[in-house]
Order: sequence, then C-alpha cells, then structure tokens
Amino acid sequence: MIVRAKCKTLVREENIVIRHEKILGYLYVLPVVVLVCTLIIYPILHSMRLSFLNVYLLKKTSSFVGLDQYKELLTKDPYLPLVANNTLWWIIIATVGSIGIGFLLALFLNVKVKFQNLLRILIFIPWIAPEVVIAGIWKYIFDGSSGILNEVLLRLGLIDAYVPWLSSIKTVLFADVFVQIWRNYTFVTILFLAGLQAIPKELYESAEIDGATKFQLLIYITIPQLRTMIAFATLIIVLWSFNTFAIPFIMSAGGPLYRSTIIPIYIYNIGIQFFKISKAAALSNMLFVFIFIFSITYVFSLKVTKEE
Amino acid sequence: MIKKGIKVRGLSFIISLLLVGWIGSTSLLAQQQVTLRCWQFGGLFTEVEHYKKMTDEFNKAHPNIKVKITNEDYSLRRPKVTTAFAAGTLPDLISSDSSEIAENGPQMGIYIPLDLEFPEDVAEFRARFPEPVLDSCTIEGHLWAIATYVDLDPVLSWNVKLLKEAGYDGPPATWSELAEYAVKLTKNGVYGFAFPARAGVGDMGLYFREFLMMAGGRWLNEEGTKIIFNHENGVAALQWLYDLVNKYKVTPPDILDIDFMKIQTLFIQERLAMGITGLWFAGVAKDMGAPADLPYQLTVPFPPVGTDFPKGEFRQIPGFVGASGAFAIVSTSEHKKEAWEYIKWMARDDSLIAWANYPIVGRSPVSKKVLLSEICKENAPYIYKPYEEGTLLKGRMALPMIPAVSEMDAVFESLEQEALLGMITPKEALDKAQTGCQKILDELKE
Repeated sequence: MIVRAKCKTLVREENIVIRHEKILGYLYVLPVVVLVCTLIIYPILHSMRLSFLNVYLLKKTSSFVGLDQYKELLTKDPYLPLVANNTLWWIIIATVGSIGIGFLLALFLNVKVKFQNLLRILIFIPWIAPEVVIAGIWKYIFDGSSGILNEVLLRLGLIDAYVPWLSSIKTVLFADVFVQIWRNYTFVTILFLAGLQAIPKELYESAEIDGATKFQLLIYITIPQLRTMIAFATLIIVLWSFNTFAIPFIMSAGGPLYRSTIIPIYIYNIGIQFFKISKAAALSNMLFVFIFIFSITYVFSLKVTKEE
Repeated sequence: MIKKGIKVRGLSFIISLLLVGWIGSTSLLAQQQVTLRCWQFGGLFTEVEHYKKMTDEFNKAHPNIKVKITNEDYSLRRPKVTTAFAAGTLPDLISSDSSEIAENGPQMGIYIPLDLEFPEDVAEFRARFPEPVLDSCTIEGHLWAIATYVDLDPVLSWNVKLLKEAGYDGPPATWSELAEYAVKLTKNGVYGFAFPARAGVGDMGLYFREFLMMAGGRWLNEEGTKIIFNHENGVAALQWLYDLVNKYKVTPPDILDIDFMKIQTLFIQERLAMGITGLWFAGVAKDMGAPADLPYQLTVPFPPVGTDFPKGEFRQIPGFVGASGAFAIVSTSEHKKEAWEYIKWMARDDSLIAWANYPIVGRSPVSKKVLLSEICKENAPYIYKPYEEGTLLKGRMALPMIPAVSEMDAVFESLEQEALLGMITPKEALDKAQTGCQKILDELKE
C-alpha cells in the first residue's frame, strides 16, 4: 500500500514536472512566436487585405475591389513584362555567376597555397561591407564619364572611348548584376570550402590508385559530395536575388528605360513613389507566392533526388 | 546639542520637502510644456546649423514650447513622409520643397491650409514677401507653407578658364550659341555641356518642365485637367536636347546617368565646361569641398528667353522661383498654434537674413526687407542689385506643382531617354508621354 501510494505521488510529481517543463518550453518560444507573428505573419495578412482594396494615398477614399489589382497588373501594366524579364535574367546570371565563381575559388583555396589564411580573409571582404556602401563604390567605379574602370581599360587600349556602363541599355543590367555576384560569391566560397574540407581524403586516394584524372575526381567525387551544399547555396542565392534592392537602386535607379528595374524596385516605385499602396501590395503578394512555390518545389525535388 | 536622531530626521524632512517641490514643479512644467517634432529635409551644412540655432533660440524664448528639429535625408523625403502618413507617425511640422506641396497639401491632406487657419498672420506675410515667393507655396488658392528661402532655377554654371582658353570672354547668349561654344569646348576629356537626363531621381523631369516653359510650352493647361506638352515648342525643346547629345556630341557619354549631383561633381573636377544647375550651386560646391579658386560663374537666368524657339501660344518664362525650406504644419498635429508660432519665428527677418550670404550662400532670401537690407547689399550684391532694379524676379514663375508628378515623371523620363537615344523621334516620345501622363491625371481626378 505504502509503495503504491509512493509510486502515485512520484507519478503525480513527475506529471507536474512535465507540465511545468511544457509551460516553460512554451514560455521560451513565446518571444519568438510573438516576433514572428508581429513582423512576418501580420504584415503578410495586412498586405493580402490591402491588395483587395484600391488604396491610393493621393485619393482620400478607398473601397473593396476584389482581384482587380492583380488583373490590372497582369493584363494592363505596360512595364511589368519588361520588369519580370529583367528579374528573371537577374536571378539566372546572379545565381550561375555566384555559384560558379564561389565554387572555383573554394577549389583554389582548398589547395595548399602560400598566404592561404590571408587570401581567405581578403576574399571575405565583400561579405563584410554593407550592401549600400558596395553599391556606392561600384557606382563610382563604373561611372561612364569619370570612372576608374573606363580609365584603366582605356590605358590598356581595350576601349577607344569611355563606355557608359550604367546608362547604356545594353550593359546596365550586367554591370548591376556583376556587383550582386561580387557581393554573393564570398558566401558561396566559404560554404563550399567547408564542404570540401569535409570530404574524406580516402575517396580521392582510392580513386587516384584506380587511375582517375583530376577532372574525373572533380566530376565523380567532389561535385556529388557537395551536392547538398550546391543545392542549398543555389536556393539561398535565388531567394536573395529575388529580394535585391540596394544594388540596382543605388547604381542605376532602375534605369535607363527600365532596363535595370527588377520587381523589388518596381514595388517600391509603385507604393512609395506613386502612392499606389494596394497595387504595390498585390505585386508583393504575387512575388511572395512565386517565391514560396519555387522554394517548396525546389526543396521537394531535392528530397526526391536524394531518395532516388 | 541637538541629538543625532533629530538631526537626521530634520535633514530627511527638508530633503523630502525639496524633492516633493522639485517633482511637483517638474510635473507642472511638463503639463504646460508642449513638445513639437519637426522634420527638416535636406539643406546645406550652414542651413542645418542655422535651423538648429534658431530653434534653440525659439525654445529659450518660449519656455512652454519645445521644438525638436531633426535634419532628414533629402532623397528620403517621399518614402519617409509617405510611410509615416500611412503609419500615423507624422511629426508636427515638415520643412521641405514646394515640389511636395501639391501632393502633401490638397491631395493627401498632410499639410493644413495656413490662410484658413491663420488669416491675419498670412496677410502679414503677403505684405512682407515678394509675390512669387508665396505663389510657390500656393495651390488651389490656398497657402500651404512658408518658405525661409528660395531657389532660382535654372542657372548656367560655366568655367571661366575653360571658356577663355576656347576664346570666349563670357557665357553664350543664345541656345544656338551654347551649342557652338559646347562643340569647341568638348576636347581633352572635357565635356562641353550637361543637363540632367538620369531617370528615377526627379531631376530629369523637373529640368525638362522648366526648359519646356522657357521654350514657350506648358506641361498642364490652366485648369490643370489636360496634359499639353506635345506641341510645337515642346518638340523643339526636346529636339534641341537630342541634338546636343547626338548631333553636336557635347555631352558626357553617360548622359542618361547624369543628374544635378553629377553635373556638380564633373564641374568641380573641371571635366565639364558648362552645366545646368541652380543658384544653389555656390553653396553645394562649398559643401562638396570645391577649391576656393575654382574659376566659375553663374548666369541667371539661363537659357535666355526669346531666342531660337518658335513663338508659341504661351509666354516664354525667364526662370523659376522654387520655395525651399518651406515650413508646413501637419494636419494631425495637436498643437497647431504652437507650430505656427515656431514658423513665424523661423520666418522673422532676423532669421531670414542668414540667406543673404550671411552666412548661407547660394540661395535667395525671401523677405523684401532682407532683400533690400544693408547686409544683403554688402554680402550678396548679386541678389541685392537685380532685386533693387526689379529684374531678379521679373517674369519668373513659381515652380509648377503637379500632383502625381513622380508617376508622370516615370512615364515621361523613360520616353525622353528613348528619344535621346534616337530610338523614337522627339514628337513620338512626347505623344506617347502625353497619353501616359493624361491617363495618370484622369485616374487621379476620377
């Protein structure tokens, strides 16, 4: 009897402890939940609500218009096709460039060279500097009438006259995206470098004994071993590129002729410069849905590939 | 001998009394004192200091009012005001340009009409200030802000040394002369002439509007219901800009990346012989650290009226008056009377004298008394003399205030750039731009 009563007391005490731990657990996550709800969930819901209205700050009234903002954007907006096209190219070039350069640099830094640590620090510099500062500096470098790039190319005899990098419709997007790549590649390099150092050396040794060439080592060992990291880096770079604002805005203000306007800049212009809050909210939501579907599909396809 | 206990108790009693008295007086003061927030956008270094000094003096002279003035980034004025408006966090006062008035005033209702709220004081201002100054803060018949100085636009900045080397003693007198000078000046890495053609920053649209009106055109009809810039004079104005870029090839190669800031930079570097700026160039050059012996002069007004362009149905305007440092009261402020007291303080002659190059350079003062003062005569003869002669503001117009101007500029600037690149003709660009801008205006008036 006494033993049973003691057991019951113990169980009760344990239940109380478990309940307390649960409550404590909830309390621990509560600040994060509040923050997420306030800073992410509420703005998303508010943005959804705004997109069904026709809030135009220059007019004092607004009303419910259903999906009209979306319809107008998709069927009547004269600039959206061009802006979407710019954004698509921006993402493709930024992703391929960042991953490619980052991967090559990681391979280089993985080989024992002189001043390896110093090189690793130097390569990380673009990542440390704020994006606004980077954009400002590169704007001066690319300047078409007094930029250092033009002066260097001219002295090397590679150009006959100054090239208007940031005001030519042929070069502006590439100049802007180059800076985006310059900003991102360091992250990719560091990520891949960590991945490269985690590949077991035995794999390379046994392949070399079997007579594999350097290229075959790269194709059949290095890249497959880094597959998860490449996938992760690609996803991150694509998401960042979707949301880039400072670099094209500061360097070329989206111009000339809208040739460097990507969707985040366009949203800013519509909402803040033109006061069409609902239209900007609708475009933001379209971008959100697109990124969400892309991310889910990408992660799912990676999972399927891995299981295969 | 007083006992130690009594001593301590007595001391504590006195301290408590003092404490209660201090807390009481502080809370009473806090109850009576009104705190106002003021956002002041942009300005030269000397201006920002001047506003702070005047505010400190105001706070000292008005113990019941405390104004906290903050200098805000000029380029962020629109996003900052728009987001604060949407969030309900606007300050009590805003000091910005007249270009904001059309939207912040009658359209959005951020500013209050001062003439309705304080009619007697406004009448006094009308007597003190020259007409174009208050005109530049008036829209739909109401006065929305009080300017503390004005900008006179546009101005031709020209490098005396470079022009002399090319054989010219003075600036060009006509627009065709300007093209001729610019051709001769474009050599050895120096560009002959530059005007703002960078889209998305507001300079390009603003300059074209001024240039259009100087060429005898107009952006809007008098009723403000129709966009009318694609007439003969408008096409001639855009054609002239196209010719400078493509026929005479006198502009920097990245003309579509040129804004006022870059014109100043190139000019200070002596890479540009002539450029379109404003009277503010002198002040900005000082802030940018331009060498004291930079050999330049400013020609006001420029370009001259009545030459080269066809006579249209509208008067050719010699130049514009743009109210700046214009203080407005925000409609959500709970202390409008106190805010008005502050504006009156900032617009006293004692305060406005600073813009007579005393110490603020590159602007024009706004009060008649200051314009004709001995200080102005001594420190800013380039303002005093033409004002005394009646030529400083003669024929000038207030800068046009157009609602939804940013959206119109986005349409217009892109098409002007297409024309400057030769992708479409100036006429086609203006036709398309007019249709696009009219659509924006119609949407606003719906």
